[in-house]
Formats: sequence, C-alpha cells, structure tokens
Amino acid sequence: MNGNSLLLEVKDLKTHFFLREGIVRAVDGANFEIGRGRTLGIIGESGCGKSVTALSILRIVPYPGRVVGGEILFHRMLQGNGSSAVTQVMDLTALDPAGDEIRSIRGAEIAMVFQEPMSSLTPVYTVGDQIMEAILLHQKVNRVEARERAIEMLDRVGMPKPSQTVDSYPHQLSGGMRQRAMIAMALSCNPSLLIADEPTTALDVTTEAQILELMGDLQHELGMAIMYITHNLGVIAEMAEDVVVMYLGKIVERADVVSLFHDPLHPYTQALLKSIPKIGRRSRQRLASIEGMVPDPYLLPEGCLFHPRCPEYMEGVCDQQEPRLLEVKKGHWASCLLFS
Amino acid sequence: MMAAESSRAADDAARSLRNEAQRGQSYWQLVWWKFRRNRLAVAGAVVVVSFYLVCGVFAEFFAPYLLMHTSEYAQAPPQMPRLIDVEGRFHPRPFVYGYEKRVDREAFRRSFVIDTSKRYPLYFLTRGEPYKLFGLFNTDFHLFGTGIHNAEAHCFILGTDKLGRDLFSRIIYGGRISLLVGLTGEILGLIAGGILGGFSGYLGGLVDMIIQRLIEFMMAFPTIPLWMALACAIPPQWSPIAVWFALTVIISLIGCGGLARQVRGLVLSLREREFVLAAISAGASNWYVTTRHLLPNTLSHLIVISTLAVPAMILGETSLSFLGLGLRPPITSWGVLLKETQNVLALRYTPWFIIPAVFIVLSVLAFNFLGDGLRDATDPYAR
Amino acid sequence: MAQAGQNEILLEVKELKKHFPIQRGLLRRVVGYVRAVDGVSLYIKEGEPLGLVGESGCGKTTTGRCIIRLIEPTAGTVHFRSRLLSSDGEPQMVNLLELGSEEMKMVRREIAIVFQDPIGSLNPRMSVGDIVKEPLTIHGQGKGPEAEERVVQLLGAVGLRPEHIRRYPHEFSGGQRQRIGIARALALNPRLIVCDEPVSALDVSIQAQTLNLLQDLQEEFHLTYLFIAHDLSVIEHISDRVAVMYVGKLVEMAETEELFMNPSHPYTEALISAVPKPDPLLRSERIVLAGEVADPANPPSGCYFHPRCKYAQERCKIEEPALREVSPEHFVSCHLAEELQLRGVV
Repeated sequence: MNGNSLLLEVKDLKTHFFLREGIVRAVDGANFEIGRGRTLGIIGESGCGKSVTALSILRIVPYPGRVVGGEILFHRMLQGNGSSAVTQVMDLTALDPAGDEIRSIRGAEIAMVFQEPMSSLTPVYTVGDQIMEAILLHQKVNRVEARERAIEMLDRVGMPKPSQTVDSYPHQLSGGMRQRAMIAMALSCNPSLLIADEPTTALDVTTEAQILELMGDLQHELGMAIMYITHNLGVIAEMAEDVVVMYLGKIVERADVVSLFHDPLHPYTQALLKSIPKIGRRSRQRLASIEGMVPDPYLLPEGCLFHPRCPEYMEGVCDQQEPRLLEVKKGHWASCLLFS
Repeated sequence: MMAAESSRAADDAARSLRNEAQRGQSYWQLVWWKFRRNRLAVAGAVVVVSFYLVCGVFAEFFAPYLLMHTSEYAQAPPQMPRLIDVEGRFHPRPFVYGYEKRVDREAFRRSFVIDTSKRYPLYFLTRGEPYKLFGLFNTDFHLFGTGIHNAEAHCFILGTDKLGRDLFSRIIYGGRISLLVGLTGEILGLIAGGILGGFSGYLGGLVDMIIQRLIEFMMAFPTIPLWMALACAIPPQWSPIAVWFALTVIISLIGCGGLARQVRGLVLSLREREFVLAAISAGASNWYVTTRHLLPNTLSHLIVISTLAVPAMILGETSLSFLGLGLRPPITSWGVLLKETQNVLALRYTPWFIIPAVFIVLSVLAFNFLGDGLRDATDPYAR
Repeated sequence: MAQAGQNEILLEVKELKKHFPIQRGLLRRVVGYVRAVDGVSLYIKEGEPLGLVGESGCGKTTTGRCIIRLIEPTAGTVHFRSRLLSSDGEPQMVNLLELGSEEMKMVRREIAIVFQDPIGSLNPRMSVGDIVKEPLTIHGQGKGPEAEERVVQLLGAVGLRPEHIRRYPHEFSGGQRQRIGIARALALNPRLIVCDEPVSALDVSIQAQTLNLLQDLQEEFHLTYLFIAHDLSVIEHISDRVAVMYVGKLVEMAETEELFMNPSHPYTEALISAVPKPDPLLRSERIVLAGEVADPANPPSGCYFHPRCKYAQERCKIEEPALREVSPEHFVSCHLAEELQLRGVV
C-alpha cells in the first residue's frame, strides 16, 4: 500500500501478561497493516491474542499485562484529503497509556465496539448521555449540540425512534439496539479506524445480519477502516477484505479474503476451514476436526507452536525451529516451515 | 468482555499449572491448599485458635491467678518480666520487681510503684492456686507464676485493678466470656438462619413470602431498646451468665435474618444450576438434591459468613457491656474490663486498664483475616 | 399428524404450552403471561435426530425442558415410547405429563439431557467419577465394582481416560467438561437425549470434535437426539429433520435437505439467508429483517411474524396460521405457504 492509503501499521507487537505463575505471551510478534477505508478481519480461537491486540492498539491492556515490544504506527490525518493530505505518523506504543495524547486518539480517531453491549454500556446513564460523553470529550460543542448530534447518530445507525431512545437506559433496549447504540457512540466523532471485537457474537443471526449490514453501509458512507475481530469464519468471509489468522499470540497467515478462503496455506487455516459445518453442503460425514487441544500458555511447545496438532508435521524440523512470517505468494504471508 | 479472552487464557494457564501440583484433589483439599498460601489468613487462624485455647479451654492454666484472687495491691502498675536487672546483670530466669507503697497526702491517693529492691523470680509450670481443669480434674498447675515458696511474691504482669486483681488473668477470663458466648450465639443464629433461608429458597412461593416478611419484621427491631426490655423481663433469680446467654440467643435469633436472606439467595441461585437440573432429570428426589448438591455448595459460604460475623458479636458484647447494658461485675468480660476506663482519672492514673482493647482488636483482626482467607479459598474457580 | 414412516415415532409432542405468569404489585397479581412456548407440536422418529432451531427467546430451550419435565408445562401432551413402563414388554406410548413420580423416575432412565454450559453443568465439589456415576447412584446402582466398570466404560466412550475418575471439573477444559456431561447422560442407556445447545459455548475446533463425538455415539448406542441450537449450520449437519421456532411457536418442520432447499416460511427463508457463509465469493444479497423480535409477553395479533414479514397481507394480521402439512412430512404455519416461492440455500 502506498503512503497515504496506509492507516495503521503494527510491527512485531508483543504484549505479555506478568502473572504470579509466570508470563503469558498473549501477543508475541504481530505484524499487519490496515489500509485507510479497508476492512481487516482477525480470526482466531480463544486464547489466540486477537482481543489483546485490539486492546494494545488503544493502550488499554488490563493489568498485569503490558505492551513490551514492537511498534504501532498510526498515520493520523491532520488536514486536507486525497493526495494533498498531511499525515503525522505516531507510534502508539511510545505514548503513555494514561496520557493526553492517546486519550485524544481514543474515541475520536480510533474507536472500539465490544462484544457484550450490556456490560460495555454503563447501566446508570442513559444511552444518550453516554454518546454525548464521547462527543463532549472530543469536540468543542455545548450540551445542546451534543445531544442533537447524538440523536443524529442514533438515527444513522437505524435506531427506531431516536429522539425517544436517546433517553433510554441500556436495560430497556434489546441486544440489537444496544449494539447499535454502541456503534453510534463509537462513530460519534468520525473515527478513521473502528475496532470491532466480536460485536455480533452475542446476537441472534438475524440481528447480526442487520448489524453487519449497518457496519458495511456506514463504512462506505464515512470512509473509515474497520478491524473486525471474531472467531466466526462466516462473518469474516462476509465483511473482510484482508484477513489475519492468529494462533497463540502469533500470526500464522495473512492474505486477502478470497485467497485465504480458497487457497489457505497454513495447516491451521486449512484445518479450521475444514472443521466448520457449511450450510448447504450437508454430508453425514464427520467434520475434519483439529486434533488435540490448544496447549496451555505456560507449557508452550518448542519450535512451531502448532506442531503437536499439525497434520503436516515434519519430525525434526517443526519441533526444533520456529517459523517466520514469509511472503509466500504476492500479498499472501504464512508462517510455516513448509515454506522456508 | 474484551478482557475476558485475555484473562481466560491466563486462567487456563494458571489452572493447568496448579494441576501439576494437585492432581485429583477434592474440593476441601483444594481449599486447604489455597488457604495455606495466604499468610495473613494463616496468621489469623493461628491467633484465633490460640485465643480460644488460651482463654476458652485452658484459662486457669494460662492465668497465674484465679478469677476471685484479690490482693492489697490495688491499681498497681504492670510488673514487666525482665531478664536484665537495673544493674545490667543478666539472669537466666525471668523475674519481676515488686511494689512499694506510696501515699500522696495532698491528693489522698495511695499508689504503688515498682520497687527494684524486691525481686521475684518467675517459674514455669509452677504450682499455684488450685482449680478444676475442664471442671473435672483437680489440679493446681499454672503456666507461670511466682511459685509457692515466697508467699509475698506476686507477678501482676499487666497491673491490677481497683480490687487488686491481676489484669492479665482477668483478661484471659474475660476472653473466655467474650469469645465463647459470642460464638455460641453465632452458631445458633447460623442454624436458625440456615434452616429458614434454605426452606425459603428451595420451596419458594407462599412459604418463601411468609418467611421473608417475618425476617423483615424481625430485622426492623431496634436492638438496644429490645435488649434493655428483655433484660428487665428475664427473671432476677437467674445468674448473670445465664441472663447473658439468654440475651445472646435471643438477639442472634432475631438477627439471623441477614444470614437467612443470604442462604436463601444462595439456594435460589443453586437451584437453577444445571448440575442440579441434571440430577433432577436423572430422577433425583428433592431430598437427594438438597443433601448432595445444595447443602455442600452452601457450606463454604456459610462458614465464611459466620466467621466474619463473630467479630461483630464480640464487638457487640464489648459495646453493650461498656455501656453498662450487657454484662456487669462480678462477671468479667472484655467489655466489663473496658468499662473501668470510662473516666479520665482512670486514664490518667491507671492507663494499663486500656490493654484489654488490644486483645479485642487482635481477635477482631484475626477473625477478619481468617474469614477473608476462607472466602478466597472456598471459591472453586477463583485464581 | 403422526406418520408411520420407516422408523417408529419415539416422541410426539402436541400443543405444548408454557406460559409464565407476570406478577405485579404487593399482592402479586397476575397481569399477563410470557408465552414462552405457545402450542408446539412435533415428533421425533427413532434414530432420526430432530434439530430444533430458533433465535434467543423463541422458546426452544423451554420446549426441551418441558419435554423432560424439568419445567412443568401449562398444557399439551408429550407422548414417549417407553420400554420400561410397558406392562407386556412391548414399548408403548405414555404421556409423560400424566405420570406419577415413581413412574416418572423410571422413565427418566430412558431420556437424558446434555446442557450448554460446561462450567455450570458439573458440580464443582464432585469428582468426575462421581458425576458420571450420579445417574446410577440415583437409581440405587451406584455401589460396587460394576458401577466403577461402567464409569470407566462411559469415560472411554467419550474419549477420556480412566485416571480422570479422580479428577475434578476445574482441571478440565471446556470441551472435556462437555464430554463429561455427555458421559453422564449415557449412564443409564437412554434412548432419547435432549441436547440443549451443547456446542454453543465451545471454540470452533472443539465444536467439530464434539459434534463428531455425538455422531459416533449416536451410531454406537442407537441414540436419538433432540438437538437444540441457534446455529443453522450445526443443525443442518447433525439433524435428519429440522423444526424452526419463532416466539414460542413452531413455524416450519421438514426434513433437513427439504427445509434448506425449499423453505416454505418467510422466517426460515430469512434465517437461512442471514447465516454468514464462509466463502467470500458467495456474498449474496441477504434478506435483512426489519424490526425486532416479537415480545413473547405481548405478541402481535394474528401471525406473530407479520410485522417483520415482507410478504405479509391483511389476513396475516388478523388470523393466526395453523401448522399444516404442505407436502409429505413438511409442515408450515403460514397462510401463504403454497403461493410463495422462497429462496433456500444457494
């Protein structure tokens, strides 16, 4: 991607958790890029570090974790647009997590939507108050204007009767409506990047369809980039343009969405794709499941982290060397010793 | 939420590490293991157990003097046990210095001061005044004392009160009352609250509603006026300790509402747990579910709740006796002892009267550490 | 409605209803009802797993629990072909809702349930051996070496090892705990197992393992499943027939392939279309429903789905459609079932 179209570069990001029992390397060397206005999907199962990656970008990793290495380069647009735009490149890992700079970015330029809207919205304030809080923090407007903008945002996210729901409390709304409120809150300051951490996992499939359609429309309208984190391969196939697959804190494959689904290179990706039941292609045969279980983070295997479960395991090679992320085909990266 | 994934990974990790150390340990073994790692809780447990042993069971052994022992040395300051005397000589056997009487003619006060010319050695496991251990065995051994050889010798290591009674011994005897009676009341309240709450939660419906209204009614009683009214209503021929016991029982029964509500909440949530449903779907009866599933899962909570409630009872007794509403002399309790500090003169001339407060603070702290440690240790899924 | 197909009917539910009263005020007056299950009729044939699918709040879990009487239904009948309760050794249909407690306890040996939550479904204070043995213990067979043997056998059937008997649930992962729950369900040799969202709480790769296990066990032990889930692709994979629920009512029931290829109810069509397909080249125009799921305490008039249905007509607002058979073993409750040409899986 050329200069102006790059929004976020993550280089060798490492986020570790320092527990009494030892160190959990939640993210251990993540490398990827998000282009302006594009959608990046991050797939992985629980424990792979995808959520921690998102938290690391916004520097809200909870104690006892912290970012211990790497760079997160955010290309902040200062003025203008198109080829005459002036951008400032900031390394988010160098910022103080409690400082003013990162706080001016959070909510305004990079916003986040979480999985469980009931626990991410505070129950003691109305939805309108919470959206207005974001607006008032970042924009120089008074309360009346902020309220108008909040109602406008609610309308834009398809909330029924926005001038009434702006005064509702989260518990009075359904799951889908709460998620819309969260999206309204996240988009209220026109961020250039929206990080969505499993936003539809807790929702029904018809509501999920509504929310996914909404996010697609808004992205189109606002030109923002989306980083979509999920374990649901179907959603990634629907939403993402570029995809990153994570396993135990490392990126195992990176490609555009069509290549990933139709030409997966890494054995983990291949196995994952084979193990999900696909609608419309029914066979009474067994699903091809991945052998074994995710190893516990303190007893990580030597060499390639996936080798104990890998159908392409090469003895003497995979248990000794650690693979690196290499560009196997143009734009298609995989971290597997089969390719080195 | 978002932190859930990372903490879940960390949870998995911590869990498997512990696994290596504790394959196949049952729930109570795990509780013990977790409890042991919490130093503060273990310290609390040690203090609690020692207090109960010292004051509760073996009071007469640990106290150099019996409860009724009076002497002419009234309001005498503490005789600190020492190893090195005023001339700097070291004595292998600890000793105390005696008293010298002083008379202040202007204030008409008689007081005692430490007299370094009289030295009384301390002996351990010595014979002293006879008593009945556990109320059964006649013996006269005490942990320490001045021995039977010198009739003049005395060791009031924390001073004496206005009747010349050894404060240290009285603290120990007082502890027996304060600690034990509070505990008994709590146990009764526990049983009552457990039963009420259990029925209320499991049966639900009308039974639940009636019991809950009853509890609310009981909890609305103002305790101090009730206490005073009951104190008057009890027949005067009862011994003070019986009166105290009766009052404690009544108060804890009335106050068991809080515990009953907690138990009810526990049972309500447990009732819907899927392992209970699994048992029912396999054909289990109500009795089986209650004994095999509900009770064991509430037991740990109950232990924690009651452990943390005992300090409240201790403090309650202390406060009431301090106010004169609870126990009164000749019964000795920590609250009664503290009552004697209620005037400025006492604090000015006999500041050692405050020392019982130290023991109260220690025991309350110890119970709290113990209770907190138990609460952390009994949660099966906590890190 | 019962058809004598190749296999015999094992379970037949008719007009099952469960209404939860809403109580308000000091005197707990009943002001309304949550119609969690509002007249569900279905049947399951022996050896043919039935998938029960619907979104949250549709009543599928309540239906499952009513069928095994963990919840007492408000109305309806549940007929089960029991072997243990028959007087002459031949299996006969008994109405579970009319059985006394002794008889119910007998029948409970033939029906088991597997729950969704791997943490909540196992008593943390009990060892794995005790948990799996519990059904035997409840029926008085928990003692002695035969019981131990049986536990080892059950653990082996789900892929766990004998030494796991002495371990405790917290030492296992989610997928393994689910296996323990499955082993427990098999303890008394049931014929019908109600699986209440058994893989929803598991990771993708573990889901596959668990589904494979369930399929293997079905063949090995001649089991029949009532498989409740909200994930259509999982349902399609494991069920021979599928029933779709919406706000307490059954809207469509058919053989799996038939349902997915030729859905006859607009809600089914929308559900199938809404499932995100794991193939970026298949991004098609999805049907996105308007509005929110109806409230079971205050459902719309007529057909509950009409406010969100793009084919709705006047009749749909007034008259509630009945469940009827539009083609062999394909049941729909929609006034327009014969006229609509709905899109199935592409």
